[in-house]
Amino acid sequence: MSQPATLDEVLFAFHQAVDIPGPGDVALWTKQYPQFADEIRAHAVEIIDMEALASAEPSSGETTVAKPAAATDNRTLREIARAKGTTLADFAEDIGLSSAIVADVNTGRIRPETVTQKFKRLTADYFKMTIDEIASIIAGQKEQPALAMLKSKSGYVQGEPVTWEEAVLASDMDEEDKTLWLPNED
Amino acid sequence: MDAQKLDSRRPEEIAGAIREMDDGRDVRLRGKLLDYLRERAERYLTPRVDKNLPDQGRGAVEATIDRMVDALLIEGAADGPGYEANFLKKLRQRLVDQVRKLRIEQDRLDQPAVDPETGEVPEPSHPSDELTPEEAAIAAGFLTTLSERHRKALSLYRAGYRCSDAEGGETIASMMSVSVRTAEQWMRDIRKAVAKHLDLKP
Repeated sequence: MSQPATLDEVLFAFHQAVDIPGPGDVALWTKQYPQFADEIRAHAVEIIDMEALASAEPSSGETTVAKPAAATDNRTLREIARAKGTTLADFAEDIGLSSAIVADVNTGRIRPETVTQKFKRLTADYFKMTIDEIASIIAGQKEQPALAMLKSKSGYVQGEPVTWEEAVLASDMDEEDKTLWLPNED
Repeated sequence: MDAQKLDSRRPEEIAGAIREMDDGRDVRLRGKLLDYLRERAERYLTPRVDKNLPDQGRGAVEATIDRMVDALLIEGAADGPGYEANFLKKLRQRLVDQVRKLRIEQDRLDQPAVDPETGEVPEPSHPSDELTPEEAAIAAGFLTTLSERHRKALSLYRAGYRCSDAEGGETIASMMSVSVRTAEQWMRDIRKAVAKHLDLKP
C-alpha cells in the first residue's frame, strides 16, 4: 500500500492505525506529517471523546473499548441452550464459531471481560435475549469442564484464563474465520 | 435476508458486494444489503456521537450514513475504497468530520496557547493540579453529564495525556489548543465535580 499523501488519506490511515490514540501515537503521526499536525490532533481528540462516550453508553451498540464486568447471572450458556431446545455445539455451528471457544466461554476459561460485543450480540439474537442478560451470564460462568474434574482428584484446577483473542488464534478455525472473530471487528 | 448470517460477514465484504452489483439486475438485493449496512452503521455511530449536539447528534449520524450510502452507490466515489478497506474506521472518520463541522457552526472559541494579555507562556502545571487516578475513575462514571470541554479533557487524561509536559510532548493543552492554565482549570473543575458527586467538601 502506498504512503498516504492527502490530508484525507493521512487521517483515514490514522483512524485505521489506532483505536484510541495515546500521546505517543499523536507525537509519531504529527512528526511524520507535520503539515497536517493540527488536523491529526483534532481528530485524535474527537476519537478519544467518541470512544469514551461509546464506553459510557448502555450496552446497545458496537464498541471497541472494553467495558467493566457485568453483574453476574448464575445460569450457564449450556442451560440457556438446553432451555431453548438446542446444544452449545449446534449454536456454535450456526454462528460459524469454533465449538471449543463457545465451550471455553461457558466454563469461564475465556476471561469474560474480553469476550467480544459481536459474540454477545449474536448470542443474544440467537437465544432471543438482551445483550445485557448475555453479558451477565458470561460474567458468571462457573461450569467446570468434565475432563478437568476427572483429571484432578481434589477438584478442578483451573489453568490461567485466556483472552478471547488468544482463544481465537489458538483455535482450529481457518484463517478467514479467525479474522471474522478477532476483537476490533466491531 | 438473514441479518444473523450477515452479522458473520465482514462489513467490508458487504460494501464491496454492493459496489460491484449491477444496477438493473440486483436492485432488490442491493437494497437489502444497504439497509443492513445502514443499521450496522447506526449501531456503531450512535453511541459515539455527543448527545449535547443539536438534535442529540442525530443529524451528524444521519449525514454520515447518507454519505456512506452515496460512496457505495456512486461509481468512482472517493470514499468507496475506504469502506471496502475498513468500514467502521471510515465511518468514524466521517463522523468526526460531521461533528467538527457542527462545532464550528456553533462558533466555539478556544484560548490560544500563549496568554494573550501577558504574552507569556504559562508555567508547567504542578503535579497536584492533575487528577488522581481515583478521581478520574469516579468522574468517568458521570462523563456524559460533563460539558464538552471537561468531558474531552477528562477523556484525554484517561488516555494518558496530561495538562503539560516538560519534554514538549502532546498534552491536553496542545491537543485542545488551549493554554496550560486553562487545562489545569478544567482539571480543578472536574475535581470539584467529583467532590460534589461524592458529597464531600473540596
